[in-house]
This record gives sequence, structure tokens and C-alpha cells, in this order.
Amino acid sequence: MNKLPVIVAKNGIADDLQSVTKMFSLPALHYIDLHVQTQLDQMLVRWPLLIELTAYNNKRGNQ
Amino acid sequence: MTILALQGIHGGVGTTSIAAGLAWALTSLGEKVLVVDLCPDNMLRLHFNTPFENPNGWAYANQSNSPWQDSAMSYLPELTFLPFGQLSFLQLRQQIEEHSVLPPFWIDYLLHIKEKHHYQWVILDLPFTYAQTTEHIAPVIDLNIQIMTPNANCHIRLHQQELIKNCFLLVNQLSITSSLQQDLYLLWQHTVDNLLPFAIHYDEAVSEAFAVKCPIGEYSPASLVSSELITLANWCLIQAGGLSL
Repeated sequence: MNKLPVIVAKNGIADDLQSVTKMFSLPALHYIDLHVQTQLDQMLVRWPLLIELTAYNNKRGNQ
Repeated sequence: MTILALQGIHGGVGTTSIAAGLAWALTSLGEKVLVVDLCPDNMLRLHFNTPFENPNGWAYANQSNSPWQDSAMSYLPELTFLPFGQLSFLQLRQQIEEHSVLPPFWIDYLLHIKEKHHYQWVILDLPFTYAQTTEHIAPVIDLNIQIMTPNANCHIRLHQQELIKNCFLLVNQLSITSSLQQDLYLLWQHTVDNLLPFAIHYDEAVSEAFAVKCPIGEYSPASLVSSELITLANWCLIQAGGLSL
């Protein structure tokens, strides 16, 4: 099977974490919600239309 | 006064039911509301117990050169609705040829309503058309919400159709038993800008309310969708506060 396209989340999805980071002056964290990321990857496997449109989005974003 | 435009990302996503239900919800929060049907389908009136054979509405009045304001009907002291009116196919075709789907004179109508300071909200139930065909009334709209249902059709349109500028997106008819809908909703929550942080769920009470000819909030105040429309109404009030209108 081909490699799945990456779903690029919009800005601000980890706002709660960003607020805590700011409040306690923590260094920037590279946060990935693994549970959601797994769910997103699984849905791409289930629905070919979503693979195609996610790949289209990524291609458009790179232009 | 806030002018709120509601439009489906395509036809049949439940925009008119939301327009009627939101008007009811805002009224229940103490607001004075006018809800206007701009869809030639002329369905909104039937959410407000209008007899089916009553042809009145703003477009019908225009055909006979009568004052369009006289077509507005009061459902509650705080809730007024203005039907589109029943046109024949030929009359409708003539109107579209002369004025486009959404006649430009509606800008003057809305400014006229705004000058009267009679309502806190004017809700416009817009027909589905491509974004370009309603651009001319954009300057008088304060808040735009586009409605979509979580299915493949809407997902494709998000990628190939130009959306209205500065609009928020609201998910309607979300089913908790459909794995496809749950997947699409999760994906949209993570990727779609300006998606409202709550959805309106699928609820049989919405269909029943239409068959009873009244807004969902009146037919079934305890239903899930009634409480979700109160949430939407509160969100609209907060937005209007931010707009300082």
C-alpha cells in the first residue's frame, strides 16, 4: 500500500497546551496528540476519498 | 442590529430549519428577530404555521408592485418572518433574469430595516448558490454561517467550491451512529478553519417539528437540537457583542 498523506492540522488545535506553556514560561514543546493522529490515519485507510483530497490539499499547500 | 446570513454549502443541508429554529432560540433569549426567506422554494413560512395556499411574500408583492413590508407576518410579538412568496415558474424565471438569484435591491431593503431599529437580529435564509452570486450583498452582512452535513458531498465541496469570505462553518445533522460522519467531523475539527466548536446533531424531532409546522424549539423544547440551537444563539450573541452592533 502507498504511504498515507499527512493530515496537516490547522493552527491552534493544541491551544490548551500553548496556554500552559505560556503561563509557566515553559520552553516550546513539540506536541503531537498521538491518539487523534492514529484516528486520523485510520480514517484515511477506511475512506479512499479522504486520502485523495488530503493529498490534493497538501499538494496545493506546497505550491 | 446584526444581519446574519445562513446558507447551505449545497441544497438540502437543513438551512431553513436552522433559520426557523435559531430565530425561535434568539427570541427565547429576549431578542427581537426578523427572519427572511430569500429562497424561491418558499419553505420558511411553513415552519411558522402559514396556510400552504397563502401566496404572500416579498417576491410575490414585487410582482404586483405592492409594498414588500406588508408581507411580513408576526409569529410572536418578538418574532417576525418574511416569506419569499409563491411565484409561478414564469414569474420566477423573469425575476432571476431581471435581478439574479438574489436581487440587489435587498441591500436597500436591509438598510431600510436597519434604519428602523426595530429588530436586534435579521436572519437571512439564503438559497444555495455559488459564493460569487451573493457577493453583492456581502457589505451589509455582519455575520455569515455556512451549513454543511458530514458527508462526502460536503467534503468534496470544501475542496472544489469557493466558500463565502469571512464565514463560519456549522455542521448540521451529525449522526452519532455513523462511523463515516464521526470520521469526517473529527477530520474537519482538525483541519477546517472557522468551524464552529459545536455541531447540530441529527434529531427526528426536527422533521416532526416541520410536519407540525412550527420551529423545533416550540415543538420539542427538551430535544437535543433545541438545546444546541440555544448554544448557537448564545454564540451569535457573543459574536454580535464583539462586533459592537
